[in-house]
Amino acid sequence: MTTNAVALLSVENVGMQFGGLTALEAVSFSLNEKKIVAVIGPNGAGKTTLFNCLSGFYQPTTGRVMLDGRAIDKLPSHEIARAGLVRTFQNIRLFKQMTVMENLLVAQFTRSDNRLWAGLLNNRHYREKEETVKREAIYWLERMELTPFANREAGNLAYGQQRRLEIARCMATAPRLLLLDEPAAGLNPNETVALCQLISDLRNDHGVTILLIEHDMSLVMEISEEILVLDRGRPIAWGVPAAIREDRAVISAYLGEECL
Amino acid sequence: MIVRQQIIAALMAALVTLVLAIPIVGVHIISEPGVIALSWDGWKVMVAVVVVFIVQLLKSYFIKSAVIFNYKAKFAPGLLIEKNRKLIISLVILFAIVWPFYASRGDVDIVTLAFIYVMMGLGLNIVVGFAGLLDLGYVAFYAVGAYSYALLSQYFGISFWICLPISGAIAALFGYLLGFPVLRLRGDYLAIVTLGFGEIIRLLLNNMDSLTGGPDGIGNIAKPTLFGLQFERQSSDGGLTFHQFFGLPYSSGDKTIFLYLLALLLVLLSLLVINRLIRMPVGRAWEALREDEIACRSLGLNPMHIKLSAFTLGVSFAGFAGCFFAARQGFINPESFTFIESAIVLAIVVLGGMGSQLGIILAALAMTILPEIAREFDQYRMLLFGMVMVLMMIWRPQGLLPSQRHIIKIETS
Repeated sequence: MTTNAVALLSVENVGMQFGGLTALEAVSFSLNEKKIVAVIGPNGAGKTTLFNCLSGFYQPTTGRVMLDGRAIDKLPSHEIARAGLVRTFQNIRLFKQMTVMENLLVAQFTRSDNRLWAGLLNNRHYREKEETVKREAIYWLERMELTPFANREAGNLAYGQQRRLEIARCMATAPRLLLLDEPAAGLNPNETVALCQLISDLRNDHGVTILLIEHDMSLVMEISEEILVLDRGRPIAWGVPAAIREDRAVISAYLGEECL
Repeated sequence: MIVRQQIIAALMAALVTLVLAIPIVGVHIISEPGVIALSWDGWKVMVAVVVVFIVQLLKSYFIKSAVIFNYKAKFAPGLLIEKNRKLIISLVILFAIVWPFYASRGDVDIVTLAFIYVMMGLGLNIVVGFAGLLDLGYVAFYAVGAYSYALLSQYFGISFWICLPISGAIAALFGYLLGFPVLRLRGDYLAIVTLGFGEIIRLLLNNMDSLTGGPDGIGNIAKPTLFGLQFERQSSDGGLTFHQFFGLPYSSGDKTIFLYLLALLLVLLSLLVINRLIRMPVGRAWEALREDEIACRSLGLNPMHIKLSAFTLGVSFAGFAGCFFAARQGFINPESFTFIESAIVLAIVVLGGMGSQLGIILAALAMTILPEIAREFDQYRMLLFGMVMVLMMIWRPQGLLPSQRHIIKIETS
């Protein structure tokens, strides 16, 4: 292993067109392991489209996406998730009528013993696997301070708890790259501070790389090590927070030309 | 203002009733030799119109009063059952085993039939209740199971006990083959395709005269045996029969009781298997898929595999039920596998409460036993059936006993 090993995620010239509408154009960047990177941009800049292209919910019309040296842009979304790239959604997508615990168990489906006979006969391998899966779920309950709500239906949780559960559910799949789509949306200032801490802890303790979309600039500036700025589907800047703050193209994209 | 709106709505409903009632109950055709005439009976029409008007007018009060009833029913049974679960279950099973020895043959026979519907209800519940895939052609797999046994028995003389798993497997295979192209469809489209499949199977059985006997069906299907002991007066293959072996006087009731116990055994086995299935990872995945397919995909679950597993496993129970049905009847023809059977099984699932096992058992028993008790109302069966469904949808859309989460309890101190 050399120090400049292959980047965990490399996005090469990715573009996405819906009929005549170009939602994304020539987006290229690469992401090293254990980085926290933010994607920002005005509304409609193509941030979520980019996430959808990376996570396989859209197939990019041009370009390539490589995860750990393996092309993933043609894979269906569930295989991308299995390869270690998981995401959250802007409008939280929990299994609302299932309990918090069950949400975390479902997330580990691919790591459970799914053989029909093993489960029906309740054999040793199956029981051991179920135990592991349960322990992992309990770990994430503790970690996200959701233990008191373990047996509650996920849909009945408070908004901030639902956000945490969605992140916990992603983490339960043991991902390598976590995509967070507006994790702070709808959170109060206290919760946002806690989220900040949580995101960096996840990176430090679990070695997960994080790419997030966020509108809350204080959060973005505080935790991200690098920032990608999109405007009207095009990348207009890439750099450390301090540089992005001063970038003329970024300011004009957000505030308009005449403000400069 | 509200009162005026209600009166207008009630008047409109009464008007619709008038239009519908005149041809249905108002006019009778009298066909005596040589004369065909219409007789007019305005009295019934008037009654119908008045009843509809009053019910519509008071509808909102009915619904309000039903809400209270709703709350009571939701909590009461849960409290009672939860505490002594094991004891109650064993008592119920014990009762179910002992009961046929004291009941009349006719009753035992009806309950046996009800058990077939319980099995199908439990199977369809996997597909509709857990995985959320609307299957309107469930009867097709029932037919596949029944014909599998009938044909294997007729052409190859294979016994019931060997055919039982084979029938389930063949039904599952058909489910897999149908599911593979079809499960890409969602909601309504899936319902239509499965509905079509149900009809195709029936028409196929009707028209493949050389193999299935067409509309004449297949007769003289071998009955199940108890370790090779037949339940007839005289053994057909020269061996001992049940009563000869045990030195009992011959009683035709023995066979009825045996079939009943066999059905009970199959129901209990189905319950056992399904109860394990829904607690397994695949069971959790079914529910997750029903809740949110996109979230499932984002977590690495292949929706196609999970839907297929639900569909295949769910329809295999129809295969078992079909096999038992063929063995019990001794005669099957395509008439037994019309769309109405699918509708009844689906109604059982909806009435019982999607995803709720106990609810489905009760609904299946009610749906098969009540019509037998109310034989006099035979003519109005479909009418009552429709009315019950409408009332259920207004008062208890979640079913008789809505499913309770089989929560994996963890300490939340």
